[in-house]
Amino acid sequence: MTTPPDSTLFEPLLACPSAATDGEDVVGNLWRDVWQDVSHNPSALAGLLLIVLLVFFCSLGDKLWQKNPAEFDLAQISQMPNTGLKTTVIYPATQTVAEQRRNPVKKLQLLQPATTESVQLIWPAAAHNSFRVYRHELKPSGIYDLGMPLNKTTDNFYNDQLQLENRRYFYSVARLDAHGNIDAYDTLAVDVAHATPLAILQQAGIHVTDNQPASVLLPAHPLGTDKLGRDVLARLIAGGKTSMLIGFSAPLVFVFFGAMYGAIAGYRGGRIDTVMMAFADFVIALPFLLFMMLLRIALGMGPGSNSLMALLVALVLLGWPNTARLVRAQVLQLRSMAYIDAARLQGASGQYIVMKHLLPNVLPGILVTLSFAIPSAIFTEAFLSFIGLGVVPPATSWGSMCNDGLSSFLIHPHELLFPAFFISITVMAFNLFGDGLRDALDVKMREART
Amino acid sequence: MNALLRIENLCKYFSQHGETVLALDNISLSIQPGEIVGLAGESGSGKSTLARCVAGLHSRDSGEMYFNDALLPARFRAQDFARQAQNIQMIFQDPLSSLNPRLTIGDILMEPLRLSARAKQIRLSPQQQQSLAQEWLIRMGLRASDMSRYPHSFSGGQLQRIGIARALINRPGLLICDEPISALDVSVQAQIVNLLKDLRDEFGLALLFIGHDLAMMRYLCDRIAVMYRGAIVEQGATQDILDHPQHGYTKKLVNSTPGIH
Amino acid sequence: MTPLLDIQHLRVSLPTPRGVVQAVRDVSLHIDRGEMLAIVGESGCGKSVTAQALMQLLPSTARIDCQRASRPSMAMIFQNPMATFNPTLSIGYQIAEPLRVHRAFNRHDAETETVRLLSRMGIENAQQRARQYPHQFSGGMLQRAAIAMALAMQPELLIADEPTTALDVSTQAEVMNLLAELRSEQQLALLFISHDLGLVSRHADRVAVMYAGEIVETASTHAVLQQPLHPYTRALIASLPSARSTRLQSIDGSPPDLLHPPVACAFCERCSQRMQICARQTPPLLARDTQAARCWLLHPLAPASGADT
Repeated sequence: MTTPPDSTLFEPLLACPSAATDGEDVVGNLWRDVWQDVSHNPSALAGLLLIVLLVFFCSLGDKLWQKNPAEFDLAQISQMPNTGLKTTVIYPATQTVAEQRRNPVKKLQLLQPATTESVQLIWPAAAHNSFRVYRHELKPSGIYDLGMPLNKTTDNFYNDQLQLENRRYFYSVARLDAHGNIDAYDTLAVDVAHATPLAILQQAGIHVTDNQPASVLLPAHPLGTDKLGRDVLARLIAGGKTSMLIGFSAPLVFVFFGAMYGAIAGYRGGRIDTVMMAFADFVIALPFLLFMMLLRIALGMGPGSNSLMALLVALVLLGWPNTARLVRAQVLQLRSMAYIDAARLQGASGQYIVMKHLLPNVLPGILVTLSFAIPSAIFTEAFLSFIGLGVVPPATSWGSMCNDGLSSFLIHPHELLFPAFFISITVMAFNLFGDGLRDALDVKMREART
Repeated sequence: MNALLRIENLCKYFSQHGETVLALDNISLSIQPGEIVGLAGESGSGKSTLARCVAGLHSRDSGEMYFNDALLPARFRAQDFARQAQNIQMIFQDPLSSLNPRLTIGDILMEPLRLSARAKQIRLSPQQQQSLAQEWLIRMGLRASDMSRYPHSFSGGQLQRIGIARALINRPGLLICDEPISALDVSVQAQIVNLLKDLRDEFGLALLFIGHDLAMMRYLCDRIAVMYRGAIVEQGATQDILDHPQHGYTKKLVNSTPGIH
Repeated sequence: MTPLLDIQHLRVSLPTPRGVVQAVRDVSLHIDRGEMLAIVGESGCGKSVTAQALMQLLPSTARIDCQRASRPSMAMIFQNPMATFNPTLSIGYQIAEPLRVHRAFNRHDAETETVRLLSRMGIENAQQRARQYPHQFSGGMLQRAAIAMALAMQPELLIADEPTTALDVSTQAEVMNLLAELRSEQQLALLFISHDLGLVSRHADRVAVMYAGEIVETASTHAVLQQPLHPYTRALIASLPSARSTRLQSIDGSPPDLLHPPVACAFCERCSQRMQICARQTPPLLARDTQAARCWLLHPLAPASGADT
């Protein structure tokens, strides 16, 4: 001691100032603590936010984007995302092609403005040669890079109507010699404008005024359209409803049932437990896909009928044993806890002990299971719809949209990518949240035990 | 005076891996009202099994048990527990696992009141339950504000006192203490043991105290029964047993306990 | 003679989810060759953390400060011998492994040495026992095997962290006797960690009483038990039952939370003889004869009655 303490300090002290903050309760309610942990875990929080957004998207999306997901828009087949496309109206022709071709041309050129309905090319005629017409999406770099051969002709005219998009194309016309080798070629850059014949516009319910405007504005499709001209955004919302319906209802039912089943088996123990868990093992052994198909037959569903109900039933019937196993294992562990003995000594019935003491203590585990069962159910539905065992048109789901988009993936990737993106995001969001929840509960459960 | 608890020729078998093991071998023991009987022995000697048999948590295979001269059933069902809840209660070795971590101390203390009220088909108002629970909490040296806290914010000694309050709130005649101080620190052990002694004096409570610390049992118990391999090898007044052990095992036990003399 | 182990001003902080726990706050220890020092204290007082810090067994997140340290070769045995051994390997293999790796024994010599060690620990049929697995051993046997494994490295100091707490009383006495024999036979120094003053009083040469991460009293075992200087030591002894005690003394309250260690005397709140100064300044380790305690009552200015009652 550097400073000698003075003697008054050695008087007796009656009340000692309490250093500990004894009054406030630092460890309290489990759920408040878990929320504290989750809200400090960025990935779990991001998952939760995404889940909220997705639920909002599926439940209220159709109020904000009121478009019939089953409506065909023939004017816009497989259209890329757009905010309202201007289309040239094609009126019934007043002049025939033959009349227009009377005047000879000096080089490769367009006979009429190029539209998505047709691109009419004309070039100087040559008596003893044939021509080959090529189309390319990039500027040709040489004789071997002219693009897709469209036609071989001796005429000096070609009308291209092959899946035209509103973009720039490079048309090349090559003159062939007697052996069929390219003699010379000419390239023309063509900007194709979106155009729709009047009849189709009228069919699609788009009003064209009597003063014959050159172009009209088509309805917007923010995420584009599919190959039948249906709005992808509206279909994503409608499909999301199906996915969420399956994703929430099936796990809720089977996790609840599985938890009760497992709790009873674990608490009763002995022979009852053996028999109950043997049955659960039997159910686990059933192959899901086969069961699902047999169930469809049993419910009298042919191919092509909407088997949402069968899917739901199959998920519930086959999904519960995993939860049951988990809950049983936890209950077996908890059953040896002294507080269960204490409750029995107080005269509590089995039902009371299961409901009041066992289930609340396995609830965290049940919730974690649920948070992982939801994405897996969503994925199962998507998978089954994808292979054609789920929903059928006009109803839709993300899985069946993926199936629809697969055939045109190379040309119109957005038709597959958007629903696939939503499936991935949903599954990821639930998994992120579930991971965070599990981590938080693990920590809290361990703290509570030690 | 009639014995509060009388155990006669009790036997208990366990089957392990298809083999039958004799866990309790012809146990006879009685406890008078207000008496503290110690059960000493090593782990695996069967003292905890005996405690659980007396409480009804284990069934017995032969022999009789009488509480106030009424025969206890060999295998307890929920209604038997409800009937005996007023007679026999128990406290456990691990104070934390003996309280449900999801319930507040208030709920834990009021649970026996609710269950016994239900069994007796009487109504106990929430205010009555609350005040009785609070009264016991304060008697155990805790504060009324602790009613709304959860078990994991208490120390081991406090948890054990809450466990005692829960066991005694319905005023049973016999409290079985299954190594209640083994998991506690020395200074806290003294608190619990003093508390148990005070409760005996105040309520005439009988204790069946299971432990392995002979020095502590000498301080607490009126009589001691020494168990070895499922059988009681020696029983009698504490002084006699510890100062003049007859059985070889008791001698070994007494000699290896530091600070007993 | 310089002491075998000499640790000055050891401090350990452990990060936990609730904050940083200052588990050990200024602990100085020394042990001579062949000496047995017991650290006594309640759970959470930092006695095990001290041992783990000496053995460098603490997680890498722990902060360890030590002003001076001379470390002999050390080995440690633990409370739960089951956790010491890998359940999938035979006992003999696990004892022989360090011999082969660190002492470059060949297989045959290692086996011979293992059997010798096991039989020295009083295990009968050591040859066959060496081939058995941990679950085939009883708790007491396993603790003997753990001691054999610790001694295979020929340490100068054996740290025993509550080695008998999980054992029955009669087994406990046997293990303690074994440790005492080894001590006199091999000049083995022992750092014995326990909460059981009774056990310590029988075997240790010196005792260090720990409270709230500090050593509050240190002296020879006899002195500590016969004339404890610190009120905490006194209370601890009074809480033990003895043949003539009519009522046990318990210590009210609970030890301070080491997340927020007290600024002054850690025992002030529970002390029956506290003074003004106790709540303001940390007492230094004050010596009286061969004994020393961290208590203001030993200060020359304190009322004389203080330490002697």
